[in-house]
Amino acid sequence: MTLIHIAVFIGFAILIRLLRNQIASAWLMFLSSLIFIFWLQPVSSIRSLEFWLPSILITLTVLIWGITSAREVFTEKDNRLAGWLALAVILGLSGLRYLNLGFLVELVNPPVIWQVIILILIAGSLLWLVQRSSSENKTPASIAVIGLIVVFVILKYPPAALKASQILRIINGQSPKLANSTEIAWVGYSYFAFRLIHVLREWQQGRKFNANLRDFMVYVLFFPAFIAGPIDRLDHFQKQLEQRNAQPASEDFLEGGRRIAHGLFYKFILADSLALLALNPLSAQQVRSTGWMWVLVYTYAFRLYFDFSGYTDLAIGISRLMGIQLPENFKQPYLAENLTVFWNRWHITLTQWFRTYYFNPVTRYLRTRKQPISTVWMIFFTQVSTMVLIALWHGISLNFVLWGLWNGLGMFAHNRWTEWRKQYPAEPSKYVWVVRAQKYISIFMTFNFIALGWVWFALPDINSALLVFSKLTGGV
Amino acid sequence: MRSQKALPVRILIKAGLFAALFNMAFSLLMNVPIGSLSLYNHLYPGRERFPFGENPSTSYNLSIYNLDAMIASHEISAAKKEADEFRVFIVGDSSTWGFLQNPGDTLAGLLDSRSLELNDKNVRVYNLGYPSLSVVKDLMIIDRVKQYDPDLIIWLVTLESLPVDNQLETPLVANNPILVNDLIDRYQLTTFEKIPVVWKETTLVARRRELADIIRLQIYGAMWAGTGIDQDYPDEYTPALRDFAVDESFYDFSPYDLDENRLALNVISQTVKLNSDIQFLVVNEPILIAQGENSDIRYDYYYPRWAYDQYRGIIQEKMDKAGINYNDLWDIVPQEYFTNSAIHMDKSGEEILAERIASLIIETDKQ
Repeated sequence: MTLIHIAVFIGFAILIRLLRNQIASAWLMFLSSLIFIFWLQPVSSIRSLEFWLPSILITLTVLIWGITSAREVFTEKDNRLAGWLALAVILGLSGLRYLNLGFLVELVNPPVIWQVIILILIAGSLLWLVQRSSSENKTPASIAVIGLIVVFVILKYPPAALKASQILRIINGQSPKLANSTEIAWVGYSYFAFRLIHVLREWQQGRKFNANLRDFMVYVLFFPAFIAGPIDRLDHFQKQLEQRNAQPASEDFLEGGRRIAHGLFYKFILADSLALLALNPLSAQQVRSTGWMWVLVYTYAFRLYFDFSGYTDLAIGISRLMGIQLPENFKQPYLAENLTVFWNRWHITLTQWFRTYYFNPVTRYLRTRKQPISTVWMIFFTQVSTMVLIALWHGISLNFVLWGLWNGLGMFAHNRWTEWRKQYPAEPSKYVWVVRAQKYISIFMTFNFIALGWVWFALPDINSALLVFSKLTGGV
Repeated sequence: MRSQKALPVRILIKAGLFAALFNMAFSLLMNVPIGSLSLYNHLYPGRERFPFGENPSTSYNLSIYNLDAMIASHEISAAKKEADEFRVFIVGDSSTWGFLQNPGDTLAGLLDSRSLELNDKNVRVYNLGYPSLSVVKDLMIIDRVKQYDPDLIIWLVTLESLPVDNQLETPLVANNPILVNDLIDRYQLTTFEKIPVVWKETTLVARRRELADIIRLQIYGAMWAGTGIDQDYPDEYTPALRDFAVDESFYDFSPYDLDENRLALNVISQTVKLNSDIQFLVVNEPILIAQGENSDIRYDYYYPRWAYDQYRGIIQEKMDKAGINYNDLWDIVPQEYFTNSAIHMDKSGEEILAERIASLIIETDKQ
């Protein structure tokens, strides 16, 4: 997201909030979200991919809304209108090809119209099948969850992404030899998929959502949170949509403006400045002293925080301009006194997602299975596997697995330490300075453990990471 | 409720007023040397040559146009001159700065490593070259660094750095109009018209890039300190041209008549004249003398033979007339020692030049 994106998003958010006609305001939010995802998608070297990927997101969103909604609402006026408008956006943007509109055509790069019509016919047929199927039938939801995960794996696993890129190139009549694993950069897919999986899993477990198609699409494709989250829950988001004019606009503008200013400062001043000297594969090789290696590792830790937290502030701030309060994603994580607290304060919505849809069900299963395993092993398995899965969400490669193991094992060790300490209960020291010192030492140790873990995260090559650890311990 | 609604508007108005006031105040204080505030020579060591870089993410260096910041980041700004030090500054273009060369393999680096002695003093050599071809740019640097008490300034020039029309075009000069106009006045450089200074260009908004670059320079200082890298060293580069088309042009000079009035030789003579307390050694730097196609017409990419031959005669005469210690070393480096341009040399080429200049430094004792 560039400063131009942010400025335009702010302008639209203010316009949406200031529109007196609430219905018009809701539809403007809907149309903005649909159009902006095309703008956010970077130009690809695979022909027209920047058109297809957002179009597929829109199509999938409509289909999954269909799967999880009562069949009788399909024909409701607002839902039909939302469907037709979504179709109009896709067709309208594909029609740019036939207009002489310079940069707009380059930005969206639409394919020939008959290809778009085929996509629409396929989507329409699938929607028709969904409508004909029983709303009690869970199979389409299961297929959708699996499909979303399969695409996710393809995008995050470089050899699979390379293969996919080669196939797309062949389909497009382009040379597969020029394919690379990073050219299918599907912006926002990670968050998109996790929002939809949340809806599908909740629905499979019997939860009924009553979001109309317009609100559902806004929830999934909401432009402020499209690129970097947070991952809101549908029920919470829908409540926000319903109550978005409950507070005076001035209050929303003040709070939104404050968060935007905060986010801009974090992202474009702090994070982008620290990025100049944050650890990367090149500097890992070049730094020639232990002290400077520590500086680079710490810088990376802070850069990552300011970057991600800054984006979250921007998302929260722009949403707030529209009267929508998104959930927080960061709460001073580097001041956490232990790893468990850290992971409750870092990328909170992702951690909660995994807790809800992986950690809790697996723990429940392990507790209730006929041949129960010991509590220690259960904690070990659930904590380590959860952290590895969170790591794999960032990318499917060995360095991320090691980063997940680092954190999972760290959390397990902390858990065992806490349990062990319970055997020797001690009164808190009567001296304030001792209590404070214990707190600061805990924060220091937690931060350093996390910062060292980022070495795995930052460096795709394991040998480079080992070299960094060697340099950090004096082996220069 | 009414006042609460008005609050965002009031905030915007106040912010706008503060921004306008701050810009005006900044503009009025524009002569304050903000670039002098530097982490170099304090938190991390000074650079061995001026900041310059076209690829900051790999060179940990960048081109900035704030002369104060450039000098503050250089080791010279913190180098305490000992009683037994004979201080030598080397000024010139990218060849002097050391394109594709480690700081230790530049002319200054090689001379410094020789530990020369002169009048029982230790010769300490500093690299003050900067990559662009303009003697006014060199004068800007000389005028500013003379406060660091040089005993000798070695000034490497070439014909390409002398056309009057080019002098004020180089970014470092063009972005410092107040500084350059002051030099035009003080050094009586009547051949140049002053660069107009526009008020709006002095505001904080207009100078935001300059300020951001100063901050970036400070940040890259950490990488410089941590890696010792200040330049992007590509594994491969395009070698300087050795074969040429039949082309005798040199800018818009009429062939076979290099008009000396269009060469900024007065910049050299005025600089030496007005800094008479410092010894100067002016050197016509080595150029690539190609032995390829049509090399009977051109020496290299820059120079047709007629123009360069006439230039050598003109500069020799002018320097002699002004009583300036001048040496013409144009042909001392064989063509195989040139790298990606007709003036950039590899370490072997620099060694040859350093050998000759070392002997010239020793000779200054006798003059």
